[in-house]
Amino acid sequence: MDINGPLLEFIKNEIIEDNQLELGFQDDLFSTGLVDSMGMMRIISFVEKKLKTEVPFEDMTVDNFMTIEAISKYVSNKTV
Amino acid sequence: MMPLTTSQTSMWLGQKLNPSVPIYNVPYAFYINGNLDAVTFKQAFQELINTTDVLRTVFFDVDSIPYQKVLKDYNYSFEAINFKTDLTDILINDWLQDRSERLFDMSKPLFDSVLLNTSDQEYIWFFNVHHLITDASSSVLFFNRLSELYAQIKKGNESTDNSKFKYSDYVQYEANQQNSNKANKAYWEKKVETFSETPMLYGEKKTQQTTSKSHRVVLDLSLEQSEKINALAEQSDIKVWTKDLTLFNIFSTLLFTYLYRISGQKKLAIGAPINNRTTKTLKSTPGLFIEIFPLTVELTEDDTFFSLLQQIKRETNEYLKHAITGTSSAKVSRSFNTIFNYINASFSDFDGLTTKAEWIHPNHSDPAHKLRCHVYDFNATGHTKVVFDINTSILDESEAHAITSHFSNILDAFLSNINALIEAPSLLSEQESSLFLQSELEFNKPYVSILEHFETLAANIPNAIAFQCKNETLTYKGLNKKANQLANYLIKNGMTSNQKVALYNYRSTAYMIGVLAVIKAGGTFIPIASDQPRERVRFIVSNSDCSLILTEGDLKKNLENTNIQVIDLSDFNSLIANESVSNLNKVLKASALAYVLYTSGSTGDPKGVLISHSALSNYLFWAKDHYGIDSKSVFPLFTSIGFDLTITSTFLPLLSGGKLIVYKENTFGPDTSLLQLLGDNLVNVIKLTPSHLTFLKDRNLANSNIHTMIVGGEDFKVNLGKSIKSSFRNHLKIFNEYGPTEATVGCIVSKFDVDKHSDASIPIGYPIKNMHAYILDSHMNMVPKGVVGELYLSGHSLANGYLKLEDLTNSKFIDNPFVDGLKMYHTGDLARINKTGEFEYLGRVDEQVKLRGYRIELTDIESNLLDFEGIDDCAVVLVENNKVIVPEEEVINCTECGLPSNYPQTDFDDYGVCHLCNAFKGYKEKAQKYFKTEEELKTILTTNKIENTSYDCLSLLSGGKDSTYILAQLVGMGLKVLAFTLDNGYISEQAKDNVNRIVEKLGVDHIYGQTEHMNAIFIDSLNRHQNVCNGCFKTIYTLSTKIAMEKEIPFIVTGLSRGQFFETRLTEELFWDENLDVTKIDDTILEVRKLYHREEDAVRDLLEVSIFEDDDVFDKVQFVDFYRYSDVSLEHMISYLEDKVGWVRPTDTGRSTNCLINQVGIYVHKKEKGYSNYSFPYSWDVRLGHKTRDESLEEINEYIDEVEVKRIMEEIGYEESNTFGNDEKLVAYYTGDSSISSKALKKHLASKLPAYMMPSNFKFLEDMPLTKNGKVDKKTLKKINTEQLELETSYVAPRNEIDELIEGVWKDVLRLSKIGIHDNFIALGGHSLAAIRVTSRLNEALGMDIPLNKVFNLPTIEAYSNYLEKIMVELLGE
Repeated sequence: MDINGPLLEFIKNEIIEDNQLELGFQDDLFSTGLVDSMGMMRIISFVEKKLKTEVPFEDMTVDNFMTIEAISKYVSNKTV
Repeated sequence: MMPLTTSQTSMWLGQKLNPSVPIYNVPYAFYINGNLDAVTFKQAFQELINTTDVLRTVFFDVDSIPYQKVLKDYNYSFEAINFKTDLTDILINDWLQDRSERLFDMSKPLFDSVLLNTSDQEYIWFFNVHHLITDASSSVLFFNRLSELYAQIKKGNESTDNSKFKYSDYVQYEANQQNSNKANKAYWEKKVETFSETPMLYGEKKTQQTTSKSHRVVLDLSLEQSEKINALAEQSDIKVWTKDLTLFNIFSTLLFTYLYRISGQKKLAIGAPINNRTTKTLKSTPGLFIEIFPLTVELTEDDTFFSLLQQIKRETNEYLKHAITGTSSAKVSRSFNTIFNYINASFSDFDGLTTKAEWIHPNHSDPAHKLRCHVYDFNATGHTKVVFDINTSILDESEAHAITSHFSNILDAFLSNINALIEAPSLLSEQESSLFLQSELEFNKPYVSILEHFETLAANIPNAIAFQCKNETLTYKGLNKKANQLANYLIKNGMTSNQKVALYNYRSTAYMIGVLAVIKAGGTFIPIASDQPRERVRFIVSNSDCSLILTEGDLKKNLENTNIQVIDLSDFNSLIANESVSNLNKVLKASALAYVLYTSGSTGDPKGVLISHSALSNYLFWAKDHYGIDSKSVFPLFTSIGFDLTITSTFLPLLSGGKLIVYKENTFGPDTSLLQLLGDNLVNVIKLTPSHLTFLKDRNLANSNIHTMIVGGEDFKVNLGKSIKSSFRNHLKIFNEYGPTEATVGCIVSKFDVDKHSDASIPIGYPIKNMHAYILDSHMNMVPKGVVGELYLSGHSLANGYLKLEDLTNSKFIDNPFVDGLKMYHTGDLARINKTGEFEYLGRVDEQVKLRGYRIELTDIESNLLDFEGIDDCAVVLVENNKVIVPEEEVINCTECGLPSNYPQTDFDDYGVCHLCNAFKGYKEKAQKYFKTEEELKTILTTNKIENTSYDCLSLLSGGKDSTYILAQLVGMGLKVLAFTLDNGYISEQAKDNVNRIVEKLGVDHIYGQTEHMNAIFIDSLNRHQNVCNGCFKTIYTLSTKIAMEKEIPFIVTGLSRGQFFETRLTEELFWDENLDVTKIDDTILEVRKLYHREEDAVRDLLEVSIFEDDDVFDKVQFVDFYRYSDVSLEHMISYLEDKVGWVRPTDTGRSTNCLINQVGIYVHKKEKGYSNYSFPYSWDVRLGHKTRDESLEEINEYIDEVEVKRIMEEIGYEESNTFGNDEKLVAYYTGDSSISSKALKKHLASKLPAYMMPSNFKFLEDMPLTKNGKVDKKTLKKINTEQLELETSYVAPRNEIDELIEGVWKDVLRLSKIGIHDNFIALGGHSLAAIRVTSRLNEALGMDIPLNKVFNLPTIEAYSNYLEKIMVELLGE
C-alpha cells in the first residue's frame, strides 16, 4: 500500500498545520524538529488505522518511522 | 462566558479546597542585564495583555459551576520598583519570595507583573501567573512574545498581532476531544485500577494531616553528569523517537527507582504532564494546556536500570498514544502522589539582553502531589537541573536536602553501570550514615565485672537487705557469704574455671545463690526453668557439655541417667555449712562466658546463645544508669529464669544496693506470681512483657508502688501503654526495651511518651551505650530515614555466637562493614527510623506480610482493632485461602461424563473416567428403579382426582423447552393445568413471548409470580451457593406452593432434568441399601423437602413462608418431577415443540437459557469455585444418557459476557468479593467480652486503614492461643480454615471417638479439612442434600437409623455426638 501521499497530507495538515511547507518523502521528520514524540505517536495511530492493526512495540523504531518513505515502506511490508 | 477545560476544572477545585494558600502560583524572576527601557517595557506588557486572551481572563462560578470569561480590555497598572532607592532595607530575594506567595483575586486577570531595577543595568522582571492560565511552555511564550513586542515598540514598528489562535478556541477543541474519546478515558481508568495505593514516601503514613506546604530542593547536575546522560541517550538500545523523549525515559527510570527505594513499593504510578500542544498553532498559544496522565511500572528485585528503562520505553509509547486531550480524570489522578515534569522549554535573550530565568517556588503545592520532580534547563546552559518539591509532611525543610543526595546516588550508579540492579546502590550520604554510627563504642574503657561490683557492695553495705524469698531474707553480706560457700563447694566437687554449670531450678534462694556461686567459681551458668519439658531439659544439659547440674526438689527426677553430676540444693545450707565464706577472688576475664541461654531454634532444637561477661556488664551497667536503679530500688524476680529478660531483674538490684524479692512459681498450675507481687505491693521497679501488661490493663493500680516499668520481649502497643499509664499513678515511667538474646537482653530502648508516641506501636527508641543498630536493605546499604529495612546489631553487648553451631553463628554474626573488627548480628527483624529519629520495630522478616504487592504492617491493623471498645486482645494473620483455583488449561474433563477435574475431590482413573461415573456403574441398575413411566405419571395425576377442583395440577413453566414440553404433555393427558412462571425480572423478551404464545395456544390459565425481594434473593443465593438458580428455585417452589394451597391443587409438576435430581434430590448413599426400597427414598426426599423449606435464607426471611411451618402443606401439595417418568429424547422434544406448540429458541440471551441473570451465577460460581455450577448436574445428564458429553461441555463453556455480568451485579446490588485470583487474605482474631459483628469492625477500621489492609474476616476467640513463651501463637491461628472463619464460633477440636467419627463424615461430605465441634452444620455449607449424605453415612457406620432432621435440630458435632451417645447408651441398656 502506497501511503506516501496521504501520510504527507496528514503530517502537513494535522501535525505541522502548514500546507505550504516543503516536505519531502525522504526528509528526516525528527532531526528537523518538525515532529515531536507526541506527533509521532499520532502518526503511528494514523498508520494503525490504515493497517487496521496495531503497530507492535518492537516495530516502533526510528528506522521504521524516520521518513515518510520509511513509514510507507514499513506499511507495504506489513500489508504483503 | 466559557466552561473550563478538564485541567482547569481540577485546578479550580484544588484552589477552592485550599483557598488561602498559593498552591498554583507560577512565579518567575527574569534577571535581565543591560539597558532596559522601563517605559517601553511597560507598553510592551500592556500590548501583551491586549493580544493574549488568557491574560484578560477572569474566573467565577454560577451555582458552584466554574466559568471563565475573557475581558475585552484590561488596563493593567504596571508596577515598577527601583530597589536602589525605594526598598533599600528589603532583600530582593525576600521580596520575590513574599510576592510569589501572594494569592490571586479570581475576579481579576490572574497575573502579577513587576519590573524591578536592582542596580545599574540590572533588572528583574517578576512575573507571577496562576496555573489556571499558564504552563511551562506558556511561560516561554509569554516571555518571547513580550521580548518581540518590546523590540517592535522600541523600533517604532507597529506590533503585529500574531495571536491567530486563542485559548478560547482550545476550550472548545478540548470539549470536543473529550466527547469523542470517552473510551480513552475508560482506558486510563482501567489501567490504574490496580494502582490504587500510592507509595509511602520515606515511610510517610497516609493518615497524616494534609498540608500544602512544600519545600524545594535543587540538584544541579554537573556538566560531566549531563554529558554522560546525553551520551547514553545516543545509545541505540536507549534512543527513542526524540532526544527529549529519550531523556524523559531516562529520568523517569531514575525517578521510579528512587520511589521504589524510598518506599519499598514495587507497583508504582507517577503522574506526568503531557503538553497537549499537538499542532503548530497550539504550540504558539499561551494558556494552560498540560494534562496529567499516569506512567506505571511493576518492578522486581531483578530489575536493572537497563531492564527498567526498556519497560519504560514501552510504557511511554503507550502513554503518548493514549494521552489524548480531555481524557484525564480525578479518578485516575488518585493513582499517584508523585509528579514527573520533564520540561523541554528554555528562555532566550530579552531583545538581545542577557537574561537568566528562575522559577520561584511559592512554598506550596497541591497537597495530593507529595513529591514533584521537575527536570529542566531553562537557560540552556547544558547543566540539567533536577528539582524536587517535597511536601513537608514527608520531609521537613531541614531534611529535604537528603532527596538530592539520594537521587544523585542513584543517578551516579546508573551512569557508572546501566546494568546494575536498581536495588544495589546506596542512597545515603555520609552525613546520613552517621545517624546509625552516632553512639561511640568505647573500646578502651576498662571493664568492670559485675561480680567485683557486687562484692564491693557486700563490703560497703553489708547489712542492707539484698534478697528476700517468702520469709527468708539475706543481707548483702549474707548473700555473698553463702555464694562464696557454694562456690567453694562446687570447686570441691570438681568444678574448674570456664566450666559450664546448668541451673535447673525454681525461682528460689538456691537459684540465686547458685548463679552467684557459679560466677564466683569462674564458671558459666545455664539457667533452665522448672516448667521446661523433660526432653528439652535433657537436650540442654547434654548439648551444653555442662560439667555439673544444680537443681532442687522434684526437678531432680527429670535428670536421671544424664551421666552428669547433679547437686541437689534443696538443703543447700547444710550442704555448704562447712565451706569458707571468703571471696574467691577469681579473675573474671571480659571474654569469659557469663551464661549460655537456650532459645528456640528453627530446627526444633533449642540453641545456646553465648554471652560474655563484658557483654553482660555493658548491658547491666548501662541499665543501672539509664533506669535510675539505686539502693531504693526493689525488683521482683517473677519471670521464667530461662527467659533472657529475667537477667535484668536477677542482677540489677544486686548491683545497685537495692533489693530483689523472689516470687517462686507454683509447682503445678498457672504462675500467679504477678498477682501476688501486685497484692504484696513491695516492689517499685518491674521488668515484664506486654502480655503481662495486658493482664494489668483493667486493674486499679493507683496505689501501686511501682514507679518504673521496663517492658521487653514483644511489640508494645501505644494503646496498651496508655491504658497502663492511666491505671497507675501518673509519674509511672515506662521503658520499652528491644533486644534479642543474641545482643544481651536489651540494646535499643525508648521511654514511652504519651504525647510523642502516636503510632500503633511504641518505638523501640535509640541504641544503648556501646551498641550500634543499623537498618539495612538486601544489599547491605543503610536505608534512609523512614524506609523499612532489616535490623542489624553490633557492639559490646553482642553474643559470641551459638554453642556448637558454627555455621549458624557465621551466618548470623557477620563482619561489620561499617566498623572494622566488629561482628554484626542479623536480627531478622524489620525496622525503620521514624520522624523523631527513634527506631521502630515492625515485626519479623519471616512474618513480613505482603498482600497484592503491598507491604502490610499487621501491628498497625492490630492496634487499630484494639481501639474498638470490647476487644481485649487481637492478632491479625495472613492466611492462604483454601480455595485453590486450578489454571484453566490444567483442567481435564472426565472422558465419559465431562465432569471437570477441578470439581472438588474428584478422582480420575487411568482411562480419565471420574469417580462418580465409576461409582455409578455400581448402582446404575438400582438407580434405574427410581425412574418410572409416563403411564405411572398419568395414574398418579388422574387417580384420586378431586371433582370440582379448579385444576388437576400446577405446572412450572420457565418458557424453556423442558417445561414447555411438560405443559403440552399434561394438556395432552386431558388434565386441567395451571401454568406458573416466576418473573424474576431477567426473563428474556423472546422467552416471555414463548410463554405467552404457548399458554394461549394450549389454552391453559397462566400466572406470573413476582416478588419485590428478588434482588435480595439473588444476592443471598450468590453468597450462599455462588449461583442465582438456588434462590430462584426456592422462590418458585415457595410461591407456587402457596398458589397450589390456595387453589387446592394437589400436584406441582417440575421440569427438573434427571441430572438435576442428582444435584438436588438424590445421592449415591440412597442407593447403598441392598434391598432398595423406592418408597423409602421418596420418604427421605419428602423429609428433605420439609427441611429445605425451613432452611435459613433470604427466601425464608423475606417471603411469606408460614404455610411450611406445618407438615400439612406437604400432604396437600405434592411435587412430581415429570422427567422421573419421561425419558424423551432431546431431538424428539424439540421437533415436537416446534411442530405442535410453536416454541422458538430464544436468541436474545446469547446462551441456551431463558434467563439473563443466569450467567451472573455461572460467572460467580466459576470465579469462586473454579468450575461452572452446571458441571455437576450436566455430568449426571450425560451419565443418565440425556445429553452427550459434547453437548454438555458446549453448553458449559458458553461465552459469558463479563460487561453484562458486571452491569447486572451492579443492578441487583451484589458486591463482588475481592479475592478473585488471590489465594491469601487477612484474618483478624480477637478476644474480649463477646463476639462483635464484622460489619461494625469493618466500619471502625475503614476510617483508619487503607482498603488493602482491611481484614477479610474477623473471628472471636474465647482465648488467644499462646506459645510457650507467652507470645501469640500465629501458626495455630493460620491453620483455622476458611469456612470456619465465616462462623461466629471458636474452634474446639473433637473430644472423643464419636466426635471424630462425625467430624470425619462431615469433612468428607462438606469437603473441609478441619471442623470444630461447635461449628454449625448449616453455616459450614451443609444443606438438605448434605444432610442425606451425612445421615446415611453415619447410619451405615453405626448400624443405626438416625432421622434426617437430627442434623438440623442438632447442628453441631458436639450436640449430635451427645445425642448419639445418649442413644447408644440407651441401646446398650436395653
